[in-house]
Formats: sequence, C-alpha cells, structure tokens
Amino acid sequence: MSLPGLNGEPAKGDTGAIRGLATQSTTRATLMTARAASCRSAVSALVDVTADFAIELSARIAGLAARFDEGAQGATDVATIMNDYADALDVIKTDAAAALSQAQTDYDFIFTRREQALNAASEFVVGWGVAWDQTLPGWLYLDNPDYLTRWQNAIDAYFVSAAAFNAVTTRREDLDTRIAARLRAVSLFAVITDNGGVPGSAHVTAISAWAGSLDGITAESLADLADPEVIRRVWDALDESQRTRMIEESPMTIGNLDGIPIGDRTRANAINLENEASKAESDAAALRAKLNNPATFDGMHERVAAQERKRLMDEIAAADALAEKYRGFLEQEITWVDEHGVFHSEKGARVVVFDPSQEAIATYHGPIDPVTRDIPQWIENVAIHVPGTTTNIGSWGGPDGFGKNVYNATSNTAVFVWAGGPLPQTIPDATSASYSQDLSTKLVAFREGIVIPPGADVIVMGHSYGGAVVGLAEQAGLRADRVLYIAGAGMGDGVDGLGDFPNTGDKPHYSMMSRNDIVVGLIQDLPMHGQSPIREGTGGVIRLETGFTDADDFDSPDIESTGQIDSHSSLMQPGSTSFENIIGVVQGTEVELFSESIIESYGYGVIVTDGIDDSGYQPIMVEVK
Amino acid sequence: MTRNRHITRGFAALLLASLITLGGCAMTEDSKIEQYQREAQTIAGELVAVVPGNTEVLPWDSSLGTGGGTPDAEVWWQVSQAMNTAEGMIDGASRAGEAIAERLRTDGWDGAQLDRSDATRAVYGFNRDDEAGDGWYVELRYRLGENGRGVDFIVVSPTTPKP
Repeated sequence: MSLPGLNGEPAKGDTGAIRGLATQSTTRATLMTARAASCRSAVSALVDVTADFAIELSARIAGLAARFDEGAQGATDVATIMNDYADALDVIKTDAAAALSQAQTDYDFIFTRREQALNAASEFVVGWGVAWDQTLPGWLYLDNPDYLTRWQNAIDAYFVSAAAFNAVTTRREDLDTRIAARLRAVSLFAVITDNGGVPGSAHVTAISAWAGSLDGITAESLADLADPEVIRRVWDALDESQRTRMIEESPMTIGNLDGIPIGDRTRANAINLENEASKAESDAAALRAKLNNPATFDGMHERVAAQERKRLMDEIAAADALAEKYRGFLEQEITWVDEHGVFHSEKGARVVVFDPSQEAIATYHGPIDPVTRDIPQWIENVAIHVPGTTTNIGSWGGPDGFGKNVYNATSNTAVFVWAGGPLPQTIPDATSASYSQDLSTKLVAFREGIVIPPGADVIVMGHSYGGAVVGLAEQAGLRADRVLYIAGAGMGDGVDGLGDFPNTGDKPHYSMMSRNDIVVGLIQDLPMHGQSPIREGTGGVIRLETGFTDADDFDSPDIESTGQIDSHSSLMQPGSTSFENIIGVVQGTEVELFSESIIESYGYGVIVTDGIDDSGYQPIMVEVK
Repeated sequence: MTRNRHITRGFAALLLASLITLGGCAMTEDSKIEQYQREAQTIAGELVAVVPGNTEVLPWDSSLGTGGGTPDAEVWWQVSQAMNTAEGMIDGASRAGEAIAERLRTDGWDGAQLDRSDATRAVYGFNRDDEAGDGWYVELRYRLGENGRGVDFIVVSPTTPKP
C-alpha cells in the first residue's frame, strides 16, 4: 500500500481457496458419514455372531462409527464456517476496493489543489519543504484565500477516505478473529490441536491426521506435534501396517516418543537394542581385527605398541560389555500378572525409553493391554521411579530390580523406572543441579505421555539424586497424586517447598531417610538441591520411618546399622520397614511415621535416643491420604 | 616317549592344581555374592520342589540387587520365582502357598503375615539368620480364593560390598 495513512490489507486472501477448503470439508464429511454408516452395518452383522471376540469387536467398531460421526460433524461445521468466511470476505474485498479507489482519487486531488495554490515557481522554491498533508501559511494568501481553503479541503477529504479504508481493515480483523473463535469452538478442532498444545509448525500434520490424510505422516512429523495427547490421537488413527512401518523405519524416534503406547515403544526399542548390539559387536570385531593385524603396530616403539594393544583391548572389552548388556535386555525373561492373579512370562525387557546417545533409558513392569497396547484399565496405581547417582544404561539392573520388586510386592499396580537422560555418576558430580534441571522437564513430558487408566493414581518417587529431579519436575508442572522422596538429595535446586509446585503442591508428599545417611544427609542443610524433604519448612512433606531390616522384628538391626553409606541404599531392600513404607505409599494404604528422637536432660548433659531404639517405641501408623 | 608324556601330564596336573588353588584364593575375596547367589537359588529350588508337580513354574529371575544412589552401595542377591497352579485345582494357590510356608517354617524360618495382605492376596515375610548372623528374607505371596492360581516368592540374601 503506497498511500499514506492507510493500514493493513483488508482484501488479502483468496476466497476461492477458502471455498475450496469448505468444499473439501464437505466432501470429507460425506465420506465420514458413509464410513460411519458402514461401521453401523458391520455392527449389525455381528449381532448374531456368538463368538467371544464379537462383543469386543462390536464395541470397537461402534467406537469407530462414533468417531466418524464426530469427524463428519466437525467437517460440516468447518465447511459452514469457511463458506461464511468466504462470503463475508467477498463483501470486505468489494468495500476495500471502493475505499481504496476513493482514497486514491482524493489523494490525487490533493495535488491538483496544491498545484492550483502553488504556481510553478513557488513549487520549485518551497514545495520540497511542504509535506502532502500540509499547506503554506495563510498569510501568504491574504489576497485570495480560496486557493488555500480548497487545498486544505482536499487534504481533509483524503483523511476521511483513508479513515473509511482503515475501517474496512478493522472489519477484516474482526472477521478473522470471529472466524478463528468459531473454528476453535468446533470441538474437533480443539481436540486436534489439544487446545493449542500443538506448535504452529505441526498444524499441517495435526490437521492432516484429523482429516484422515495419514499416508504422508512420518515418525518425524509425528514427533513435531510435540504434544503427547495429540501424538497419541494421530497414532491411534493409523492402521496397524502404518504403525509397523513407522516403527521399523524410525525405531529411535518412535521408541522414545512420549504419547506412543508403551507396547509400541517396547517394539521399537527392541529394534533399537538389536541395532545397537549389532553395532557394538561390529565395532568389537573391527577392533579385534586391528589388534590381530601385525601391521597395526608396524614402526611403533615396543612400549608404544604395548600401550596401543592395551587401548585396543580396553575398547574391545567395552564394546563386548555393551553388546552383552543390550542383548541382555533382549534375552531377559520378564514376568507379569493379569487381573486374575495368573502369572505370565515373556522374553525381552519392556524398554520404553532407549537412546544411548542421550544416556536415556526407562523400563516398564506390568501388564500391557493387547488392544490398546497400553496400561490396562484395571490397574489402580501407576508408579514412576527416578533412580539416583551412578545410574546409567550399564548399571540399569539395580534400579530396574527395585522397580521389579515394587511391582511384585504390590497388586493392580504398574511400575516405570525412568532415567530419561544422564544422571551424575560420582558424588562430586551429584553436587551439581544441572542434571536435575535437564531431566525435570523430560520427566514431565514422559508422565504426560503415559495414558493413565481412569481413576488410577500416579505415584512419583525419586531416590537420592532422583529426588531432586522429581522436585524440579513438580516445579515444572508434573502431575501426580502422591510423591515420595527416598533418601532424597533435596526437593530441587531453588525449590522452597510444596508451595512451588503448581500441580502437586496440594497432594500428599512423603520422605524417608536413615538417621545416619552421610551420602545425602550431610547436604540436607545446604542449598545445592533446594529445600530438604526431611527438614522443617517443606510445607507439608511427611517423614516416614526407615525402621528395621526386618520390618516385623523390632529387635532386628535397624537400617542405620547397615552403615552410614549403605543405609542410603539398604532402605530399598525388600523385607525392611522402609520398603514396606514405599509399598504403602505406592498402594495408598498405610505407612509408619518417623519416630522422633527422645531427648533426655541430665545434670551433666543430654542423652539422645533414636525413636525406634527407645524402650517405649511403638510404630505410629497412618493411612496414606 | 611314554614317560615324557606322563611327565608332561604330571606337570600339567600340577599346574592345574596350582591354578585352581590360586584361582580359589582369588575367588574367596569376592565370592561372597557368589555364595549368596548359590544359596538363594538353592532355597528357591527347594521351595519350588514342594508345590504340586502339575504346577506351571515360570523362569525365575536371579539377579544382583542394589539400592544404588552411591558408588559404594552394597549389593544383595535375589531370586524371584512365579508359578501358576493347575487350572481347575480348587484353592490351588493357597494350598501351594501354604506348602511353601510350611517348608520354610520347617527349615527354621520365622514368618508372619504382612499387613499388605488383602482379600485377594496373602503376603508373608520370613526371616532367618545364616551361620554368620546375616539376615535372609523370603517373601511369599499367593492368590486367595478357590480359583486362585498365582504363587510367587522372592529370596533376598544379606547385603555385601560390591565385588
């Protein structure tokens, strides 16, 4: 727009294209209505089938019909809105053209009047200093003020026509806003974008999926959706062959994508494990060939050659260990129990996160629904455990074993053990909050990617450094029904207490730590990982007892007796009071409160006795809220 | 020639004996967890032996356990074993579970039902100290009800420093 004072482009856009979209939507609505009718016919045909599968199949097809109906309605609504939009835009385009034409005429007329008011000589001398909306001073026209008046009138007339044009621009903006609101009000559109959760760059993928154009969707465009709920919806809309193709072509993306059902993630990660094991074996073979080739060491000094041999042997050992570890996941026999209490066994760990380049891994313990490929509806508790320092893919057996123990000790519970990225490997490293900061948002996304059965509780717990990860995840919006810090390093760098947790601040929080833990006990009063979960000031974290190595025998050694270092981890051993408390929190049943020390004053000083060592000790049991 | 071969064989036997001795010495330093592994598997095998022969015994999980969280965390050995009694066997799980519990008591294990037990599942914890005074733990769980089939237990050794 070259005319001064005109705002916007109210006529932009192609109403033909908008009507084309409306027509497309109408066509889709028709197709979906026809599909819905086909589904209902299929359901009718199954009425007389007495086989067991028929009921389940009917329910699924009926669900599909409802989905097609919903889609048809959404498409019809969108078509109506688009047609309305095109009609209104046609009017605006006409008005904008007229307003622009008038403005152009009026603008040109300013210069006609200006020419009349300024003779050629004056224009040459002073015209350069007079803007289009200015006139010369009135005292220059005392003899004939009409020239000046007409000139000024022409300028004023342009201002009026410019305002008229700008009013059309405002109408266009209002129209766009109203149409956007109407589109958002189409429930399906809101569903497609998860109320705006899908980034703009992925709208094409989201809308393609909604419209049924699934052929062009790739694992990468699926990942671009970035919203686990929408990813799940699109994934569910794919047929089995499309899902299988995507898993086989892009296992690293699908195996680690939050929103993909855990059964499909496991399938993808089995491929990833096989690929990584083969790669490690191939690396080891190449290194062995190099080691066994005399030419490798030609020209080297004997000492240098020996060093090189040692280096190669170390690398071979590392590659062998890696291959063995990955194959171990694939060979692992896992056991799960169905809702009738019958055990089942399968080969292959259920690895739901696996990316060696990110040191990321997570495993699942529990049943998988064969239809949804996800957590079955009858599961009542879903626990996510975040382990601590020294955890990595190579040492996964320890944390995974804890998850397995929790799963076996509970009923109707599913357990994830999660390390979605690097954790510190040494105690000095563990003083840094950077690991927990990096992991916290990943934990939030992982949890959002899990479809929780209706009515089931989510329990998130973190051991040692994992406690700080959980706390920062809570600060970042983690959703959970109960939280437990097991010998937690802290509630997260910068966290002051439960008041900092937007979604879990009002949920039950528990903590436990042995009285003599020096691994994290010594940093409880330091600021490196935020508020201590066992000290005053948490805003409501309930400290639980770690008790005895034999939960039922108060004469058995207490957890503290296992040592100042080992009591940091022995509290996770089955059979102990602490393990029973963990299970109590996970199942939402009953837990034992921490027994405060007994302090007795004498003339010569005070004697402090651990609460559980006092002769009058009685466990104080409370229900988990 | 024959004598040389005998000499060679005799030297080889001596060498082998020396290696076994040396190896044995080396093993004793880090064999505590191996002892625990053998013992845990023996206990698990003995417990499986008391259930009816038509019980479906799933592959056990025999693995190193640790709480982790520090490079110095101690370790233990644990064996998890799950089974399903034969379909149609009335109170199958309860009967198998009670047989296992009885075996444990006979072997000197001190057991009690845990509060975790509920209307559908019985959970028992059994403890026993070994000769060194270190505590072993067996947790036994079985499904209640006449159609209950699932029985499982975990044998947990005492802790020991990581090898």
